[in-house]
Amino acid sequence: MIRSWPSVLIGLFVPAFALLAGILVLSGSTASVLGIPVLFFWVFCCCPLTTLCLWISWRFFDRAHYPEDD
Amino acid sequence: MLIAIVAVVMAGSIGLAVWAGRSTRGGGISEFLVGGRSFPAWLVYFLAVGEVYSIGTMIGFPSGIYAHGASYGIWFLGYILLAYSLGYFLAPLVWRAAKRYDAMTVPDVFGRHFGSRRLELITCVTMLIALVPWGQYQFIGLQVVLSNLGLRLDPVQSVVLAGIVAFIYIAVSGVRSPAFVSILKDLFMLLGVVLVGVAVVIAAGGTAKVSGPEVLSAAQTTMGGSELTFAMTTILFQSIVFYLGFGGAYVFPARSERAVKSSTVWMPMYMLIYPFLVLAAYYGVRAHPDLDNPNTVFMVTAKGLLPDWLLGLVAAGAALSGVLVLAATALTIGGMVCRNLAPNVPAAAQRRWTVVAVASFLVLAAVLTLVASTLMLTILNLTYNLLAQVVPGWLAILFVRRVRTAAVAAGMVAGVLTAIALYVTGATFGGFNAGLVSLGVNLAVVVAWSLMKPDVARTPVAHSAEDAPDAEAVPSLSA
Repeated sequence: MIRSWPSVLIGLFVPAFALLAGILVLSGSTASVLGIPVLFFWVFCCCPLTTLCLWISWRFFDRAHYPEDD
Repeated sequence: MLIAIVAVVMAGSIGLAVWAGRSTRGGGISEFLVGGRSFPAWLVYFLAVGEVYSIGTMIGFPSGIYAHGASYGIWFLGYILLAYSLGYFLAPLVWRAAKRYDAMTVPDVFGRHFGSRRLELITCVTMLIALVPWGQYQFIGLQVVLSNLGLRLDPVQSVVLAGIVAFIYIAVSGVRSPAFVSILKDLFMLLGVVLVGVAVVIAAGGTAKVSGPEVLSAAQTTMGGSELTFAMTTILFQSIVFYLGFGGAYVFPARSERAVKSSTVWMPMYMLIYPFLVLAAYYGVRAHPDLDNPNTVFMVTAKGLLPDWLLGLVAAGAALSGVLVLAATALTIGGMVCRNLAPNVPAAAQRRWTVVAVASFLVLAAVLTLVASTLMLTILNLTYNLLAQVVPGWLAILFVRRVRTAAVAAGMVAGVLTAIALYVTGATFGGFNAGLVSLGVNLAVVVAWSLMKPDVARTPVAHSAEDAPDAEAVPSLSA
């Protein structure tokens, strides 16, 4: 059912933890980064982080299990 | 000038829709609803981001921040982002289920997996109830865009125009239109959002003057207590519903599990348009503090800063995003009405009747918009709370062997009734997302009943692709 636990760890748990824990920790902060409230800034950083994690899961753990399309 | 730009872009999108369907004219219902299950990864990407980033992104998201502060912005961003990680693992299974049962709609999958026409009907009605407010959501946004451009259009004319364009998209080539028009829409949406974002930064003299601590109060940029609870529970809840509720529309047309999975990898990058929208929303808080309708904040901000011709590009992006999602939703609904709700529509007539159902839905959603318009994000929550009720059924189909068919049906009905009751009464649960409550009721019914009285074993879709039954062995419920 789940082919590779490292894939789940990297593709799901890492970005989910970064997002949710980051929001919890920063929710009350009035700081800003580059003029943007730090809470929003963190969530924006999570966008490329999520793509990076999914790319690692795909490239190194999952791609070989999905045959090329005709 | 402004109206000319919007008109040219809309006409161009219709041309693109016609071009997209050139090779499939006269194709069957499968071609019409799921593109013959032939879309490569890049087209799945555009169809998905085309449908996900609806007019809610340009109109609803800034209005949520304007009216409710950071918490609404954070849950909106958070659930979409988390959904991609979940979807990377779940969406290929959703596609596999559709392939296994030769399904073109979600009720097709439910009915065939459980061998139950009754469950097929209940799933269909649940999704229909959920998607009508979603259509209304797009219409409200379109109304805001068109009526704030200084065009001499009243709300009825705006809604009728949008409905006609959406209908043309679908009538000419089914699901291929939203997929290809989405490329154009994304281009204009990106352009529009970046233009307004850059304009507010230039006008204010830097990002810190738009959303820095010296211009915004702590209440506008932080969240705590029930707001934080709402944001966290909404992120969790809506991210689960994202692919298992909405997903069918942009997962089913893919040509393979590989196409679905690989297309998900790059979807979070599209979200980098949101910083510009956050800046636009916070600029609106200071520059236009007394708006009667918070939904108008993005367009009012754009109108105050951009020359006519640039405003035309922004409006074109917003209008395209609304019409596109409206069209895709109408197609989903049309397909369900003809294949699942109406009994025994012959396969050869389904395409024709789907077009009729599409038109009927557009009229219904338009009328609802004109008589009952409200804050867009409230409607978004209602749609998700209702769509969530298909999640336990999906989890059973994908992962569990002995789930009772009647329990899935009863759970769905209980969940829908709870969701509607909570929406009407406005129950808040100290910020805990009401959708999770209705989903919990649904899950409790399914789990308790199935544990007490397990059904016959059915092979869950996730167990392996090779377990898929022969096509002949799958009960055909509705042509």
